[in-house]
Amino acid sequence: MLVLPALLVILFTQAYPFVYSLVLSFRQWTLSESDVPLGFTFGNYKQAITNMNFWYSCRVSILFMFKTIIIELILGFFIAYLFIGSSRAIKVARTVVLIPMAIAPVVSGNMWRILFDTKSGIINLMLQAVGIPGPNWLGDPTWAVNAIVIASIWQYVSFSFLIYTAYMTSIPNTLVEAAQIDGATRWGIIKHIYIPMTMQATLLILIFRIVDAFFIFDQVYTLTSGGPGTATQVISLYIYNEGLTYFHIGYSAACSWVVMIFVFIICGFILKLKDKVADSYN
Amino acid sequence: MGKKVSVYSVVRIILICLVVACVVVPLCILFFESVKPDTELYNNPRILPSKFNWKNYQAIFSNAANLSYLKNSLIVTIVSTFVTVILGSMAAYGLSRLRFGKMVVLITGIIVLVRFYPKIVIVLPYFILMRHLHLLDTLFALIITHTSIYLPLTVLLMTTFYQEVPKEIEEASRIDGASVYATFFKIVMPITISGMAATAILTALSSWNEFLLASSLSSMRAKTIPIAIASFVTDKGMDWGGMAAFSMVAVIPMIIVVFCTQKLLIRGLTAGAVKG
Repeated sequence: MLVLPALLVILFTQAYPFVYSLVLSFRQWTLSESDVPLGFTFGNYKQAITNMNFWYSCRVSILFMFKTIIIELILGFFIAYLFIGSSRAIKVARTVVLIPMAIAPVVSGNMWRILFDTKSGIINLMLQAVGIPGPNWLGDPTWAVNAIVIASIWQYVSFSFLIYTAYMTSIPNTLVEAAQIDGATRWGIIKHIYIPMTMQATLLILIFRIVDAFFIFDQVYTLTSGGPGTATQVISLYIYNEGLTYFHIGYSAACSWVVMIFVFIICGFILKLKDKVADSYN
Repeated sequence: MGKKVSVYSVVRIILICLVVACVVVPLCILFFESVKPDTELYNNPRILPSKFNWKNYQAIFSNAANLSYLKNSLIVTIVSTFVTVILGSMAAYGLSRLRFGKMVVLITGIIVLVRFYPKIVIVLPYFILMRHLHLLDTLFALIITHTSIYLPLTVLLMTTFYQEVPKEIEEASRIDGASVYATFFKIVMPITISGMAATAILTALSSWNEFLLASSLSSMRAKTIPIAIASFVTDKGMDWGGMAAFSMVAVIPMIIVVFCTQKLLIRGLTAGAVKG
């Protein structure tokens, strides 16, 4: 009985739009031409698969996802390693590192826009100070992608940091001490104890971050709005524009289903891997 | 050995400071941007403002439209957090005590799926649904959507907290003649109040910062703070100072929340990820 209210809310407010979106993806419907959906069609899917812009946006998202997640994993791991300990200063520092997670992605997008400003942004000023001419961050197609990668790492590295910290604190101290007595180097301990013992954390972070990074929207919206040109038009932005700017309702829904299934397949694969890793420890 | 450790500890302190600086400096710059006099804003390679100018903040708090965005955000955040946590914890309690194994697996499966699919998929259906119901641009629409997207996470989180409650306490209460509801509200809820708080904080943070759904469902009256901030750059030209000031207004409460509730927050985030 206690489950019922929440389940009803979830069913009505989540399952309904979810299923409705699937229905829409098989409908011929452009809101500017007709107020009600027209006939049944597979055309939307066909159009999605043959549309170059769609694939282009997928490519942008995939590249972005790879860059961000790899750097986040490495950074998160080493920051967590640095922050092992329980002194007061470390605890305060840990909290500070969590701040970006609590900041609206829209805000951080705008903030990085200020920082990346070609002439007066602090990043180019700093580069200038060490003698490197700063790139035109948001105006150049290649650098604009790097700009959203950096902004997004700044915002979400605290997530991998947090998960790694949780797993690292559960590594028994005796194990590390024993290795030290055996004369293992710091790097050796990281390589043979910390990395394998946090494998589950790595996979966990991967699952969460793949979904979130692939469908990044807020930050890109404020930082570059997809520009210059379409250099940073990630898939969410593409679907959003198709649906809510051009009102190609059916087509937009079909696109979102294609990418969602794609991402779920990747995640399913990682989940399998995670079970395997979990089994090997039990 | 002793010498080697001390080299590392020096490097470590430097690196920690560097990491902390990477987080703090951008935020400081955002703050400086919000208090710079107008003449220093554009194409001016000056980081620190020459004098503090609170004009932008005055503009926010004296403008009725801006105040209404703040009010909208507060209402949406508070109401949807409240509803989410109450419904979510009831459901989680039920799930963690149900005896039909398969049902639980099925329901949990649905909830996990709902937690993970990308929100972009449901933006459009919500838009059309709310259009049919004539709820576009109302706070009610935002509350409904926020409640429903954060409910699954709440259920998952609370389930992990309920599993830590010893069953003996409940059984004692049931033997004394209390109903399931009385047991839940009078015995179990007080024990798990910190878990509920952790969940509530997470939900409130996400709802306060949510942009995608809010931006598609609101155009004028129901704008929340993130929408207002985003529109500073797109609609009104580039009002950097005003945008930065508004951003600070959105960010500062969240920073305070993080510092005051860090233990709960870490607990919630970790439990959410490890379980989910």
